[in-house]
Amino acid sequence: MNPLLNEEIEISIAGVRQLNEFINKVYGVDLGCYALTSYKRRIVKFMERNDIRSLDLFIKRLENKEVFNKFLSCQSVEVTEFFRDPALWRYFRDEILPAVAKNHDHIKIWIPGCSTGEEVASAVITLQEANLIKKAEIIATDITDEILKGVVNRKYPLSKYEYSAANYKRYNPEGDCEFSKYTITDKNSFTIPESLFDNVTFEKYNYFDDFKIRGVNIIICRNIFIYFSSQFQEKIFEKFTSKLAFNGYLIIGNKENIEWCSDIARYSLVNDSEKVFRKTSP
Amino acid sequence: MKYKVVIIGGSAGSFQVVTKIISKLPKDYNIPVVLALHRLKHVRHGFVEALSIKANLPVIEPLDKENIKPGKIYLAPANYHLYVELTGTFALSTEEPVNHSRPGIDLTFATAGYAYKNKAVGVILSGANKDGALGLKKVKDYGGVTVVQDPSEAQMPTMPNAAIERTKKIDHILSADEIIKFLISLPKP
Repeated sequence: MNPLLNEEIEISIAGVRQLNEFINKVYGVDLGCYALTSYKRRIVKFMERNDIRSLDLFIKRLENKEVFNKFLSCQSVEVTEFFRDPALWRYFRDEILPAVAKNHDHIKIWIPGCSTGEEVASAVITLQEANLIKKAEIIATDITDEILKGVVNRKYPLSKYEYSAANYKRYNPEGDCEFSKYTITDKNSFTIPESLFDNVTFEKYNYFDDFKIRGVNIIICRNIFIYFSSQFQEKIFEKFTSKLAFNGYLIIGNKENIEWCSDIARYSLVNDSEKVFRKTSP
Repeated sequence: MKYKVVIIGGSAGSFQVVTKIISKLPKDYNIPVVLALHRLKHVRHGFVEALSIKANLPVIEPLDKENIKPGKIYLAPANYHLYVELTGTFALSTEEPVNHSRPGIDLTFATAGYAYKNKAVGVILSGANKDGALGLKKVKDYGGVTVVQDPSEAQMPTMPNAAIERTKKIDHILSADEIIKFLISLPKP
C-alpha cells in the first residue's frame, strides 16, 4: 500500500502541527521546514512500517530518541538512480569541470542530501573520466549518521542496475565504456569500488546549523529543495550562496525553482534545461 | 457548484484521447486541467510540445511550488510525482515509483482530491494497468466528481475497469466525445 493512499491512517494538518510541536519541544528540531504532502507521506510510511496506528501513539513512541533518529533518517529521500538526467552529467564533464579546473588546482564539491549516494557515485565516475578525480575533494552530507552509515558501503540492489547502466549509456553514448566498468556485481547487489571514493568524505549536516565549509566550487543539490517549504528553500539557498566560491556552480533539479529568491541576483543561469547556476558576484 | 480543478489520468492508449480533449477545450476554459500521464522516465522533452500543438490553452510542465492557475493545462513532468498542495500549488517528488510509474496517477489524484474536495473532477482514461483506480476513489471519498472513459471504447480497458471496480459508484462513464462535452459544460469559477 502506498502511504499517501493509505485508507486507515489519515493525518490532518492539525495532526502534523501537533507532531512538529512535540519534536521541536523535545529535540529542538523544526520539521515544519518540510513541504507538507511529501512530509505527510513519510510520516504515514514510518507509522505503517512500525505498525503504529494513531498519531497519539506515534508521538508517544517519539519520546524514545532512537525512534526519533530513525524517523529523522527517513526524511532523507532516496535518490532515484545513477546518472539521473544524463545530459546534466555530460554538461558536468564537458563544461563545468573544465571551467573550474582551468582556474583551480583543487576542486571542492559539496553534495548535500547525498542519501543513498547515487549522485556521489555519478560525480566520482564523471570526475574519473574527466581525469580530474585526483584534484577533487568531495564532501557528501546528510542529516543523520544512520544515513551516512548506509551510504559508505556503496552497495545497491541489483534491481537498480539495469536502468542505471542505461542512463550511463545515455550520458556517454559515444564512448565504448560501460557502467559495468565501475561496478562489482554479485548475486543480489552491485558495489561501486572503494578506490573511486578516495577523495570523498561523509559528514553529518542537517541544513539547520552552520556547516564549516568554505570556498566550494560546485554544489550538487538536485531534488532536495522540492522536499522543503518555500521559506526554508530560501534559507538553504542563502547558506549555499555563502559557501560557494566566486564563479562556483550550483546545480539543482530540472523542475526545481529558486529563481524567486533574492539571492538569485548573484547568479547567472548557465544551463536552463539542467538548472545550473554560476555565482557571478562575490 | 463551481469546479476548481480537472485531473485527467491516462496510460497506454490515452494519448489520442488526451489530445482530442485538450484540442476541444476552448481558449477561455478557466478550470485548471492537470494531466497525470504515464510517460518514459528518461524522455524529458517532446511530450509537452506534442500536446501544445493541439491545445488552445498553454500546456506547461509545472515547476516545484508553482501556483495552479485557471486557463492552463499542466502536465506532470517526466520522472517526478506531481502533488497538489492545500495552498493551491504544485509540489514535486522523486520518491519511489507507484505502480511502477513516476509520475504516479494515484498520487496526483489523491492529493488533488484532498486539496480541492468537492471542487475536483477526476477523469480516468485508457491504460493497461491499475494506476489511478485508488486515486479516483480518493477523489470520490473527498467529495469530488468521478469520470471514467467507457471501457468498451478505451483502447486499453484495464485502467477504466480498475477505476470502476475500485470506486464502485462512478458518477459518469462516458465516451471520449461525451467527456469533452461534460468538461465543457462544467460550471466554471
